[in-house]
Amino acid sequence: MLILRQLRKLNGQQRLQLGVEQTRRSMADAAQKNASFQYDKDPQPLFTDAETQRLLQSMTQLQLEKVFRKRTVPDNSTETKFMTTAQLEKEFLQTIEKAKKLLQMPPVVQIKQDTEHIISKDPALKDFADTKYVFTDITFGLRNSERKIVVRDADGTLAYAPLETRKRMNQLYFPLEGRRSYTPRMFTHDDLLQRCLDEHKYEFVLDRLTVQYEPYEAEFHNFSAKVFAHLNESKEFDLLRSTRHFGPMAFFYAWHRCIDDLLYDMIRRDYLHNAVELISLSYKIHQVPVDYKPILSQLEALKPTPAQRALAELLSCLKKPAENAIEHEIQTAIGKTEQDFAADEISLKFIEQYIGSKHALKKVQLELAVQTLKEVNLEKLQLYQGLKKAHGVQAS
Amino acid sequence: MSRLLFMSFIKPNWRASTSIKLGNHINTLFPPSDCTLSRNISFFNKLPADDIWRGVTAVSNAGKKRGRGKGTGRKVAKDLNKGQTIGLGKKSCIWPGLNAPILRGNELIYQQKQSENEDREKNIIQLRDSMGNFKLSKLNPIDRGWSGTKMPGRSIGPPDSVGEDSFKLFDTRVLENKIVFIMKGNMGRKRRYSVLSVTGNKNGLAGFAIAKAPEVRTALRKSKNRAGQKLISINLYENRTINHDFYTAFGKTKIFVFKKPEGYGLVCHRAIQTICKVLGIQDLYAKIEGSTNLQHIVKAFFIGLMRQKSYDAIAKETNLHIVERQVAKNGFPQIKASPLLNVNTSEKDRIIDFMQFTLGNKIVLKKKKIPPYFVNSKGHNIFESKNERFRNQQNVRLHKLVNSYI
Amino acid sequence: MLPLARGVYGSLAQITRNSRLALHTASVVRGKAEAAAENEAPAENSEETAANAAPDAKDRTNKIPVETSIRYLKSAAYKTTYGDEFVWTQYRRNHKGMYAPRKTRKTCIRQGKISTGNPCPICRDEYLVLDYRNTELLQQFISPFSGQVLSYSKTGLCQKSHLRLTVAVEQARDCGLITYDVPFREYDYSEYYGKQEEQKK
Repeated sequence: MLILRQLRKLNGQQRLQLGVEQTRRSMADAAQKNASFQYDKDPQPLFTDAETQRLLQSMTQLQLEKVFRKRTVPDNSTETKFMTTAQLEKEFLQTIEKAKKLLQMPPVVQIKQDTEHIISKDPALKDFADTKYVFTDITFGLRNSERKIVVRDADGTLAYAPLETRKRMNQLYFPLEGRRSYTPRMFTHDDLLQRCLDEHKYEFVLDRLTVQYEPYEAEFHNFSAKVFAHLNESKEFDLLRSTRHFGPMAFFYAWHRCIDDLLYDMIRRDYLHNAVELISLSYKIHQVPVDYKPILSQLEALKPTPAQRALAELLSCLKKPAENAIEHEIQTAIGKTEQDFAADEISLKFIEQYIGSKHALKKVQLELAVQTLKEVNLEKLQLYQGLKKAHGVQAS
Repeated sequence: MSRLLFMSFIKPNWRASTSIKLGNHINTLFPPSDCTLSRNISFFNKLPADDIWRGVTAVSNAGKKRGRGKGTGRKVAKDLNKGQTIGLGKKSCIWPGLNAPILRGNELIYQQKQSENEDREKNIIQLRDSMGNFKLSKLNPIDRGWSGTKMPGRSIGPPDSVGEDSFKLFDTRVLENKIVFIMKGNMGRKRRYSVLSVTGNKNGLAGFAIAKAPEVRTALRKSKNRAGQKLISINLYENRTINHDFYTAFGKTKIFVFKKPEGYGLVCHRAIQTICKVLGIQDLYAKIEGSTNLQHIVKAFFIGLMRQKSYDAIAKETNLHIVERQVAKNGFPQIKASPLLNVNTSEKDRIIDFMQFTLGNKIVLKKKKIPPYFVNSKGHNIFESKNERFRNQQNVRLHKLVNSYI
Repeated sequence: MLPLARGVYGSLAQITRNSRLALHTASVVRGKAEAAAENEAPAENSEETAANAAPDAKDRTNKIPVETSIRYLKSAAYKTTYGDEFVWTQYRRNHKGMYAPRKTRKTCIRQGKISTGNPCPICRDEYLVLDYRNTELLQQFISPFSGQVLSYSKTGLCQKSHLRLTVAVEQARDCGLITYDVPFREYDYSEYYGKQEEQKK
């Protein structure tokens, strides 16, 4: 963190001299040195905050074809059904719910430390046996975290089992699908993990991480930090978009003050409202005295949430071409509506503010991206208005 | 094996022919000087080589009828004697009495060497190459047809092009090849070969035809070309399976055909498999009930394929949306077709099962599997209880092996 | 070039002698000879002596390293032998009667030699080495739809090869060399966030 902070200072002083390339390289160095990025305090209250969650979900987006991408299943049968329109609408709602479930973010919590909790010391039982005894309560319906697991040591002390033993016993009696009783080689050999990352198998590694480790384990934190750091260098953020890992990733970057690459990617892909959300998240985490709330609420009014957007996309195939077909056609051709243009204007202002502030690290790069986007947007807007005029559609 | 057989065919042939020629010369030139009795005429030098060879290997007429001696008497792949004359070898030499007369006019000819002909060997090889190969080329196991050396299931190439219509991407497969008889007034039982074949372009275009001819080869050609003229276009789903499950029948043959997901394969009668391969269908399950007459199966299947409805037509007919949910896509509902008029159908009892609709209100009899006789017997129960502790053994063994990297 | 040609001719002669070998097996042998010549180009002398001794096509005592196999799968020799198809598509089991036995044979190689006339697709080509690093080969045996290792009833592998295949695939997955769809894990948030969450509700 220190290095990063110094870097920012340096950047602020000699803004123009420091080239983009150099910044990038030093960022990479910092990322490598700080491979074990840790949360310095408990991130959970901030992460579970309702506003943070909303921001993260909005940033994750909900691309149906990505969430419901084809997976390998033992029985890939299909079911064909007749449905009425009403049934279909209900089905779509359920689909959105299912998608939300599939996008459930892995919890971001602090590393749990092992605490010794001795129940009783019975010296009389010393040397009763030369091995430890583990007692597990395997009552049906208990949660894994609530299950009582105790260990009787060889010297007669009875204590609550340490976390590692708990995990093993839970896995033994109530196996979690996909979790191995041994550590997969991918996580024990650094070169193998590095190879996975170099081949951009980020989602696979993270998926595996969620299954193999509990979110409060140190390994979970280390490996996910490693993946996110690598991702920050390769800049393939789109691979994680619309997966459950995008939220924790954005949160990680915001926490560690390295949102600029992600921000650049968002601007380049024309996800301006996401960029605003990312900046606000960063402000929120670091308690920067910038009032972002009114802008967020403005944007919220203009932009539908990802779930609403996905639902609209699903429902659009039910609707028949209606009276304002031409307007709709223009919108689909350009890919933006009037509201989008308005939202873009607001968000651009906010982003420029951010770039101008001392928080941005890669000012030149971001400025360039914003500039090109502005030009493209202007062209689109002109085209949009021109087309509208040509078709004689009244501005609503 | 074939090379060995071939050698054994050649050798006696050669010997027989040389002995005749040699014998002739000897007879004329050297009359026996001392009076030992000898019979110089035997079937060996009286009969041509082919006849002698046949006498050894052939089977009697009665035997032939019973199917004996099928392997023998075949055409020899190549006649290696062709282009060679006796007495002329690598080193060309004049052998009076063998390859040259002994006397030329009054002059006696002596044995003498001649200039070597360097092209001789090359010419012989060229001649042999030009003879063409009679040997059947070894077929790949998967192209060998349904069974043994029989034709059904084998590919016979695309139909011959007619005018400008060429069948370049087509493939024809034989489905049936049998002998049929008819009675004729003057000729009695007249034998012909009947061939049923199917041709297709693996992209939804296929045709089948039956043709008869006195020769197998002509029958194959005729049916192939006729099939090319009777093409039917069939709509495939995602270019891999049928549109929907259907029931079809021809005569006493009833077929239930089911649409299947990707990677399922063709699980059906071999004739239907072959038709599907030629059509481009990759995933399908079909159950034949009743007669398994091959021609009826083919006809029934084609009728069923042609009677398929498109999703749009079904949606129009029922006024309902057709939705497909794939397990591999986590049950994501995909609209396959929607009715044109958006009539709000609220009556619940109008909704029917899609499968029932496509099968024409027929219900497939799914027989309950009868458990084997030993289930729940005392001995089996003991066996199962003893075996229970090994139920995870395979998995454990696998993971033990997995963890022992080399 | 000379040892290469000799290798080819040696193996071809072998084929004519054991005329039972099918045509495609012949090309396998030729491919192998080429691959061998490719790999052992510097050690020409040893190659020559080996060629003189006319290596037994059924001998499987010398182990081929995985790296060679990986290179072989990318070579032109492999392409001429198998084309674009999988290693197992052109293989058909021999059996008597209508139905093949439920299980394939236990092993094709006994005492370092091929003990059968129709060895399984892996055993017949000694340059196909089942190893977790040889992902290109392993991918040919994994169904793209179910993600599982294909059954031996489909691929025709002998039991021993099949076990080695499953182990290699599992190892490759373990190492992350082959990706698969990891089962979805649903989190019960209250288990991690404790009582705070409940209070908010």
